[in-house]
Amino acid sequence: MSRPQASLAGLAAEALPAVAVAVGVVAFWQFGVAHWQVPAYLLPSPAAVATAGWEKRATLLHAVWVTARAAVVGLTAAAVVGTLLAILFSQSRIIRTALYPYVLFLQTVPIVAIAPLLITWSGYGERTVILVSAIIALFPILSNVTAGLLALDPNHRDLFRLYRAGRWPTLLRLRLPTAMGHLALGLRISCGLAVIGAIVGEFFVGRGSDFPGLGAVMDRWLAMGKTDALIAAVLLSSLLGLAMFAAVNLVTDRLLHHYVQGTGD
Amino acid sequence: MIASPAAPISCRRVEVRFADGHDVLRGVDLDVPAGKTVALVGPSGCGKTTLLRCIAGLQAPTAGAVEPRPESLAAGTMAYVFQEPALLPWLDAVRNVMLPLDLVGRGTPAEQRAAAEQWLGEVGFGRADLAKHPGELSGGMKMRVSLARALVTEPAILLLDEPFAALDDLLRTRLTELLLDLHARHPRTMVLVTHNIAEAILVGDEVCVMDGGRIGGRVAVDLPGPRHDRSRGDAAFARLYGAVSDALGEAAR
Repeated sequence: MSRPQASLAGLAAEALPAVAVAVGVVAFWQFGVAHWQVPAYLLPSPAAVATAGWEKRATLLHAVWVTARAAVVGLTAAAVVGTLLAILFSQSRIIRTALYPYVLFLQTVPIVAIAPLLITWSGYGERTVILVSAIIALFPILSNVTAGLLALDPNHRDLFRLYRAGRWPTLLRLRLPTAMGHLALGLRISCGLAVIGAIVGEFFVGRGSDFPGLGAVMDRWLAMGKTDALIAAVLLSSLLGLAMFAAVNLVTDRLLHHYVQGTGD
Repeated sequence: MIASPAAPISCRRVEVRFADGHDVLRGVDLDVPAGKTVALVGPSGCGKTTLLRCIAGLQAPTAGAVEPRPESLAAGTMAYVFQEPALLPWLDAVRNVMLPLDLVGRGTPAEQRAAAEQWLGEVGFGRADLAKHPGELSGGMKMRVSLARALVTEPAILLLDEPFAALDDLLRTRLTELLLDLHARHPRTMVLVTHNIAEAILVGDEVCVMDGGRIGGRVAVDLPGPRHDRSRGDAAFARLYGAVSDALGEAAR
């Protein structure tokens, strides 16, 4: 067997247990709904969900695109702002002590509590959705990159001291590259949060507009009792989160490969 | 600013007390003439690395004086080889060696690259591996890159902190011979910290035995040159090995 064939066979063997579980769950779901005659508004059958999803495919695919776009922009904004704040935090203990409680506030405040406030400031539109997504995705990136900027290899630090590298050369040539592995970790944690943030933002934005994102569409279908289409949208949301995670893993593995390897000793 | 090809080192009554009250160095006097090599041997925790760090300016002495003061030297005049290669994993071999030149602002990028490639050649690093990252190199190759990185600024003073300790015997022997060869062709003032008595005798012009934060014995090495690994079989080498072993025993008492 050639190497690509072997790796495909290995991948299939690895995925087999998960696929078997999915098939079992769907079969039990289909059987249970018919057997116990569960009302469709409570739990439609998988076949009904698939049919509803197919009928509303245009709306759903557009919703996935809108939500994905907001989540990607939100995650990117969180990565940029988080890295800049982390650089600021890494420069002095006083700055860290003064500002960290406010960053923790962003992490601990329930986003559903401040989402209406964000709408007041930013309006019923994509900007608010991106803002909610970015706020939720910010903390893991900020905390990981800050840790990375501060966690220098002692020998590397001594090397830069020996050649009298100043604050900026040390930041650009040592601290930031060292923190790239931590940024990759933060992005992997935050990419799922960015999707959740976008959907939560769309729930609120959709109540005052005809916003086409997944969260708004789900909220509308919930109000209309279209449980089958709602479940199709929920499944697509999960797939979107998984796709974001896979994409971030792929990009960070390709671009940050050498940064994630440790000290090379 | 000192910019001579070799510079003497002088330590006078150097003391280092750590924050927990532990006295690591207790009044060390050490002289290394320009172009000569002193090897520091002794048990773990005797203060060898701390003394080396004081000379490099990476550790401030609690008392005493070290000359030359690192801040009086042009950046790049002193180089340090760590126990681990300590390469930056995101840079390939050439860029790791270019780094000191870049940090001290010496030369254009093309000149830095040429110097890095030249020194990698000097330490026997193959041209085919120049673009490899540390994660793709063996332990011995990484140590060669680390050595080239230390030498690329052509320092007057080279400080080596057990540079080959983590390598197997065969590789250790090869790299010790490489160090001897480099020193013969480009003499500079060197201080070598090692646990290995044979390595200390082969490389050093003087072996200083440390214990309990003090230098407890000094053995002048009068091996005829050029030195190489086969010198271990000489009667003079055996005599010196005995003298250093005795000095270690005396210092431990």
